[in-house]
Amino acid sequence: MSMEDLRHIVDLPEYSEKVFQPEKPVSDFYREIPLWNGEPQAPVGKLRSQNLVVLPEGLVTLIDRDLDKEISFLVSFGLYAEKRISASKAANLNGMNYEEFLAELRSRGLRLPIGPESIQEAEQEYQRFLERE
Amino acid sequence: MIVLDATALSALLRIGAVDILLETFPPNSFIIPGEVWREIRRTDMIRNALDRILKEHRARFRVLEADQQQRALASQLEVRLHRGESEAIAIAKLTGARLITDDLTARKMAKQVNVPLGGTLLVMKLAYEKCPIETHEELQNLLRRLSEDLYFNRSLEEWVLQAQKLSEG
Repeated sequence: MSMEDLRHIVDLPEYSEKVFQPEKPVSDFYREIPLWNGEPQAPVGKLRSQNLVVLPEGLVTLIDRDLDKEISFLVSFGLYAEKRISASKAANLNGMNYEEFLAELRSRGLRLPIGPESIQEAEQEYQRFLERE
Repeated sequence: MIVLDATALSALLRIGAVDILLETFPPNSFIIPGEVWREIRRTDMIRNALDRILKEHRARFRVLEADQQQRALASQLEVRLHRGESEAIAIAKLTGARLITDDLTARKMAKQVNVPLGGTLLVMKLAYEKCPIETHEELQNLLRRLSEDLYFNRSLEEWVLQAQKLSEG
């Protein structure tokens, strides 16, 4: 199933309703989605494996850049802020080097958070660093 | 020995503080992992600044390609880190060196493998205490330039600014 094949499916309002039912497990609406071309119509697992996501329309209309690149950039930055990937890794995943990633942040009026994050952490690092002098 | 990753090296080059780093840790040589070297040289401005520094202080820097053992450790970190940061941590860990990095995730991973580390803010504080940064005004100016691209909270800025000259006791 190609991206184009799925495009009309993700636009279906009833599909969106199923996706945004947080109280129901994913497997429930997987079963409820009818077959199309012998395959379930856009089950969440399929969408995930094909890197497709469903976003609220109100959010999508606010994004005035290339949607795929924008989501990739913002998710990468979010993962960095959560300490799940490094900044250079985030840059690399977006086809940039570290300096280009910083420049992209700068163009959005953002700065890269750095460590340490507290005085206590800074003091511990300071002491340990000097022990090796 | 002190290992530098791309975040630290880039920050120090951008604010023109590599000389300060060298003067703050006079007996130390600095290791730039091969992958960090290649990553950081992809930007003209940084490459030119690095070349200028190396021309003057070549003996203090060593570009080190990770050996087999270091690569093995680095590869375990590469799911979350860029290869450069992974190598920086692996080299520091297996050579007993200290690491300078500003990256939140690289710092977290380095601590997990028990590598002693600091960041650019630590370098600034020590540089003021040991005198390569002579005046409070110069320190403030460097922190201001650092904060143009990087975010650190106000209390940490104060922590650096509260540094006292070691000669003053």
